[in-house]
Amino acid sequence: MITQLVFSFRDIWRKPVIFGFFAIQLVVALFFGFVSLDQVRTSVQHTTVARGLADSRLVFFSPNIATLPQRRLTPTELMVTTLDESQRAYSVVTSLKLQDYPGLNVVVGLGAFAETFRLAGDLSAIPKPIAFVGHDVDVVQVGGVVEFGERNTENIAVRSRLPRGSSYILRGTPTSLDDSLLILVDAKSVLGYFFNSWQHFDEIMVNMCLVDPTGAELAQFVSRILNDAGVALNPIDLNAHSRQVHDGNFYGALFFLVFFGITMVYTLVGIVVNMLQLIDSHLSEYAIHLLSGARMWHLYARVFIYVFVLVSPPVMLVSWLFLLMHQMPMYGLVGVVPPLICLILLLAGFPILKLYKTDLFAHLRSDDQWH
Amino acid sequence: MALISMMSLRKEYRRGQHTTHAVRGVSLEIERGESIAVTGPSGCGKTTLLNMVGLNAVPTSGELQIQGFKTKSFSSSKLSALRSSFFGYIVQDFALIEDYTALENVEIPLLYGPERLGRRERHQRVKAALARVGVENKVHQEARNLSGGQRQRVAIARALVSDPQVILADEPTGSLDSETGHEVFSLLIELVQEGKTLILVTHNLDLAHQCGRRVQMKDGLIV
Repeated sequence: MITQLVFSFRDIWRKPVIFGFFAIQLVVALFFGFVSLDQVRTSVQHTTVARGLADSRLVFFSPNIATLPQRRLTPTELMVTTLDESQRAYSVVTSLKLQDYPGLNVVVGLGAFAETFRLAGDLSAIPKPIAFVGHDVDVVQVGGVVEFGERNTENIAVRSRLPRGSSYILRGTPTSLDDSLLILVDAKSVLGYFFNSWQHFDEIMVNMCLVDPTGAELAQFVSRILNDAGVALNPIDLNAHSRQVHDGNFYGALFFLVFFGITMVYTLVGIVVNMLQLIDSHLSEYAIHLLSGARMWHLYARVFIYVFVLVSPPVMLVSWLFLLMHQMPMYGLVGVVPPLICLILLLAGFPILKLYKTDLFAHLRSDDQWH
Repeated sequence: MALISMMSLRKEYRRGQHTTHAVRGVSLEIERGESIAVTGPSGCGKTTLLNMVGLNAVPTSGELQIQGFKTKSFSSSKLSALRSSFFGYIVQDFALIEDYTALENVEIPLLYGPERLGRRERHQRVKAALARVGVENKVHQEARNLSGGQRQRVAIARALVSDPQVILADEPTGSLDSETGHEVFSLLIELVQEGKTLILVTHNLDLAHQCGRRVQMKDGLIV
């Protein structure tokens, strides 16, 4: 086998430019493949989360940035009424970091956050603040204590771990809680924790999401924010938005899939044609090897190794990039092995079939020959 | 016991409805140390016969025995071992790999032989074989840079490197000028004198007459 490995590398070295060309082409094709897969994954995720929340008829807001500096007064009372008392709205603060765990994502949930996303069961009897860790967080464990706040500080014990795949909607986009620490806080007390409460107030207003509001409630909320805080919020229905996003993702994925399909077919056909040409140009050489004692499987192994060396690095490179981009564990590369083997067998199959069907000794005969 | 025995060997090639009878029942015995020339017009089946003897083609019917053993019963690894170390094959067009050096070309049978030789020992044997045929100074030259005579000598070195018992030569001087052809043929006769068995396929009757026995073929039969 080592002998065939050496001969395969020799084959590569004979035409390194063509080998490199196909390897690069494969990287490009596979990249589009993974992008389209990613698009499909995002689309499915978004649609699943949005469908699960369809009955809640959530309305989120898009702020008019130009109005932000015109603030007149802080409508704390509106915030408390909407989030704490009505329990028909939630908001989040995501810009916070804990001093003890600066690398940990922190999501501060206000109002009906846990209820809307059906997290951690019934929490109505438990006084806030309450902390939960996402499924993939390992720097903080259940029972561990985190110090929360800057001006008023509080030590909060982590109550439990959220199930894998827990998520919430942030400005219309499903966002995972798997790698975050979730702290549920009363709107009434939230601003007291911080020195720079203005900034967090803006974030709370912009991230506000109303649950199944009537038209009158919506109009009242928007006009009060505009009058009191000077911020113009454009309400957006999550269900309609999700349909729009789903359609966009669907057509995006379809485009990438078609592009991937065409590029992949083009590349694979190119590789097979190149392999067949390689076989054609080496027929005499293969016959010499057979005369010298090689068996057909030696020649098949040589072709297989060539294809393996051509295909494996691009597939592994693109898969590695994909895992890296999605912060997924590297053992995910193991999952790539079965399709990789299928691809190698498919590509090596054609030239091996050609070898099998060719009378190699015919390429060494003199004029005294039978065909 | 004959070194090689052929009993009613036949070889047919089928292409669609058409069947070509390349060899139509050849029986022949070849003794150890013998030199035998197979002559005949083009297309009479000489090369096909040589390929069957060299285990490169499977007879359609009949029996081939090597040292008394029927080749039909040989496994593919046994056939491979015989091709690499029992037979040495020389063809008209040298059959060298053009971008390999003389050393790399001659080394090939040792890579597939039953002995698992180390690189150093392989190279020693290759250099000895090249020295035996007088091209020891061309060890690292690529085949494409060698003259016709040098190429055929390298091809002979490749046939000799595994120290085979039988040399199968298919028109070994066909692509050489007469002077170089005679030099190459003298080399083959020297090998016979050293105890090798030579089966030579040729159109050249002068060469055939210098062999110990001559077999004439016509239309797939010995006549």
